[in-house]
Amino acid sequence: MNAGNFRAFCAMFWKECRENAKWAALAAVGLLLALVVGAAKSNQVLPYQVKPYDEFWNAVYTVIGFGSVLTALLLGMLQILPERRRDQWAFLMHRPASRAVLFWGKACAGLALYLLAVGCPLVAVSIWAAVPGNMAAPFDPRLMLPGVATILCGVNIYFAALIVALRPARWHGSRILPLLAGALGYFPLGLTNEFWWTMAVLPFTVVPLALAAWASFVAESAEARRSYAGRAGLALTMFAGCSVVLFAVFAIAVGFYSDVQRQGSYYSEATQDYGVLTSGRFVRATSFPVRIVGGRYVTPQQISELHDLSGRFVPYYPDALKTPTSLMLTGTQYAPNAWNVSYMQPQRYAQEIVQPLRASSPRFRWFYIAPRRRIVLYSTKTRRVVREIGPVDSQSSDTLGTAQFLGSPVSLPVSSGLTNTPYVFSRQIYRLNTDISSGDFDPRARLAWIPLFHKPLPEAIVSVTPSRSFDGPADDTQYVYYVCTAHAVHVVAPKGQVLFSVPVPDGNKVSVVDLPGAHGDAVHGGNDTRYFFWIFPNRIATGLQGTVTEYSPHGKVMQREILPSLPPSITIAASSKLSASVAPMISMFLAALFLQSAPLALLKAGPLGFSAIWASLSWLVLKRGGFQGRTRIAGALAGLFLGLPFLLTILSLYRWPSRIDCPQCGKKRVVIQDRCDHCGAAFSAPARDGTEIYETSGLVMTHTEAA
Amino acid sequence: MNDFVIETHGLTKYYGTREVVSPLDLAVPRGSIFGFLGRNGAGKSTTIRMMLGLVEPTRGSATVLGQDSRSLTPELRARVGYLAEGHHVYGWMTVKECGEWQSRFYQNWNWGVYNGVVDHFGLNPKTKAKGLSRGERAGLCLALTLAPEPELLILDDPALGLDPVARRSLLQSMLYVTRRADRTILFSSHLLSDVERVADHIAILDRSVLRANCSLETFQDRVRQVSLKFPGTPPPPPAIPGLLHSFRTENEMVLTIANMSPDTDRILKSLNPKSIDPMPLGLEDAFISYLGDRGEQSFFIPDAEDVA
Repeated sequence: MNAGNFRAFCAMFWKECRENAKWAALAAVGLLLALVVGAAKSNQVLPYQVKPYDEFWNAVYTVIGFGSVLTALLLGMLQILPERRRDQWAFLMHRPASRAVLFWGKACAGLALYLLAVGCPLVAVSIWAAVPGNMAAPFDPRLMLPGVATILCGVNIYFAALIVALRPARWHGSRILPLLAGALGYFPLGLTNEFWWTMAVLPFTVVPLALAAWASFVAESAEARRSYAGRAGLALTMFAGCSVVLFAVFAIAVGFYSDVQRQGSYYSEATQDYGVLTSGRFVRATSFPVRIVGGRYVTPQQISELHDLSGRFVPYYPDALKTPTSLMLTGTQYAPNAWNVSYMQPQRYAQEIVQPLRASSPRFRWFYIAPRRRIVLYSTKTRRVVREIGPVDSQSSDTLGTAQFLGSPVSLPVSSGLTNTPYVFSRQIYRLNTDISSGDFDPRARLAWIPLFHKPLPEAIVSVTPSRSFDGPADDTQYVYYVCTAHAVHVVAPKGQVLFSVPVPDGNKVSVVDLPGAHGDAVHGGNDTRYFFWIFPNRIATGLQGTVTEYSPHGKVMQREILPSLPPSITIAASSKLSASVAPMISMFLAALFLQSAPLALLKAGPLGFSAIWASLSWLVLKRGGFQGRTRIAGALAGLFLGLPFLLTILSLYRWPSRIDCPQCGKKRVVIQDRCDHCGAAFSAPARDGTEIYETSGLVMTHTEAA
Repeated sequence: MNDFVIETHGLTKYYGTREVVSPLDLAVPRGSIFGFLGRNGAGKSTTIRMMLGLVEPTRGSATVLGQDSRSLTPELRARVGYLAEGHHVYGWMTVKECGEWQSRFYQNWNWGVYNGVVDHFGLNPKTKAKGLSRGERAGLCLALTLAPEPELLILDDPALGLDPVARRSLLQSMLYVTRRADRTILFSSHLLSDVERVADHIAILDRSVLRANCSLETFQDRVRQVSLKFPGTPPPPPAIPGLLHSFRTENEMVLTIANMSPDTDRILKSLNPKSIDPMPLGLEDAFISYLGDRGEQSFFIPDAEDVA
């Protein structure tokens, strides 16, 4: 940037800051007030009380999220719309500086104001929370990261608002589409658990929107003036907006279709699942969970009928059927734990492990501090740390133990605190010797965390599911833990010994049923508890065969059966049909990626026909818009692969030239071309009536005369 | 060096299917004060905006100081002063801040000119622009436009909404800027009295079509008014080429005609009037006749004809 451009940039930056600082200040004050209201709760005793740790931070993130959207929208619009009046805009555009300099002067000022307006309240709240004595909870600076990420995602909305304000289009038409694309810019928040990943993905959403805003400012409606980068950015933005609209219509259509299918007596498509009878017989249970009577949903019964694996009807005995419990083998499905919890959740940094009833006023709050691998006790009176506890804690209240819990936390049940509750870490499972469920506790008391395993597991634990609830006595030995690691399920007795392990191939889902031996068994006899593991490929749609295996308590395989595939749900079927018509090629690609049902089945006449229709319409639309042959062919190819979203994109992207009657041939011709497409006639000169006064002294020659 | 600072070639603008500027060929001579005239909605402002690359033409092209108006560089814009129709300034800036802000965009900024024009209009540098009257705001805008000492000055209806004193001040300032011979002013207006005072060349847009493009003298010379007296009721006006409008009374017919020729005289004589007398026509009257409603006007002849 040379000195002249820099001066112009600074002038624009200064003007925009002066002009819009008041709006930013207003937004900051509003956001701060919203944070104060959002982070508070009231009860009969105290009219104002700060929410507990996780609720407090979640409220902060929610307020920052909505606040960032509103602030970005406000600033983006107010920076442009009041200045868009004809003379004012002309005054601005005639500055002797490149339009890029003018735009970035505006945008940088807007972004600076936006970041200040939403960043300052976040920093203020964080400072307040960090000061000891304000919250009976730990503070980690990284608790600000979700707010920071949300604020940075709001940059998408800011640029989208600029595009909306700049781009000449109908408000009820394509004008607000960029806002939908901007809303998509928040998807990096949910895409990954790591902050730096969000930051890595964010440019992929911000850059197209920024380019689109820049192109809209530089060229307004003049397509030819836009750079290729600007055109690409605008096209991507509009494509994203159109896709969001189509997705919304799509979801409504699928819902409507499902509803129509459900009308009548029972849910037209039953849901099916496998189970086992107490006799040890494998069955397929059909459920009619939902019925619509007089427009209202009712649930008449859970199971309607049973069939065995060969399809024979089985008399239904409700008490005899055991349905399997799903186990989690993939860490991302299991929450909360600091190992795989997203940075967007405050539990990642500190997890409250005992949450007494909200109505009560406990004296202490218990937090597991993930970075320190220790438990910290806060007094709710002083709101300061009372004690820090490790797994072998046996010290007095003033002495901090040095031991740390093994591995990363996997599952720290928040609503428990009972003595047999498992506190699961990635290498060990602990149980507490003292009941702390009430939240009250003598800080001088001696605590013992009893490890389940004699030595830590070599493989990281993903989840632990007990075979029954913990409402029984602590010395009940009838239950087991299903300890899942990445590739196996270990059946573990309450004393910690591993009874047996079931290997599970990667990418499968597992369900389990155990049958206590007291029920007996018609097939194998004996009184031991037996375990049934159901293993299915973990795919979006069913349609794949699974297996069920019966194990003895010693891990011996008693029987194994192949499970026929279950029919896909009605919603998936409807979605497949609709997506195959809207965006056939993309659907086929996604089907090949996620559905193992043969993708070639989708290559039938229907989807291909729809592809051809979208391609033809794209070609025709571009032809009508006066585009040249090569562009039309490229557009047709894009229509073939991207389907309806692409067609809508090109319709929304360009301002289509007006068409008027050709005086020569009478057919419609576009006004932007010198000659008629049909007859080749030029536009006629304005009619002369003899009153024209032209001086043809070499100074001027009128179009009429030239014509 | 090109003799014309602005040239347009078939410059056309459509809004939807409505043609707001018909194919326009225009050339503005260097060093001239060029009056761009027309009634409201004739297409003057749109044409100016197309010239400056602020509005995309539907067809045709324009060059300003030799550069295509669609891609005017910042350097060239610095040589073109543009005063937009509404006399826009940022209301929250003071008069001094307006100058300071504007000066950051220009390499050649003449504070002397700026302060001179500001003083000429009696503006207080500490007054906020939103507190200025219309005339004062026009003066401030003019100061902002003149201070970079542009080679070409384009004023879009600069006198709009100004009282006669402010208009006079504005005109004086315009004349001030043309002290150098190579300076050119293009200004649009629908007030011919202003044009008459300063312009040496005019172009007239009528309902989006360029109808006249000539010097002031030529225009005044070409638009004539004649009075034909008849012994009785005058006949209906004949089909005369260039007839702008006619006015009949009981025994007189007044015709306003553009481009009178020997043929016109012959047609008039064929009506057998008692006398044909040229009538004096001022420039403003000529302009109004030229742009006013065409055709016949009469107060009572139609009634008489109806009775007949």
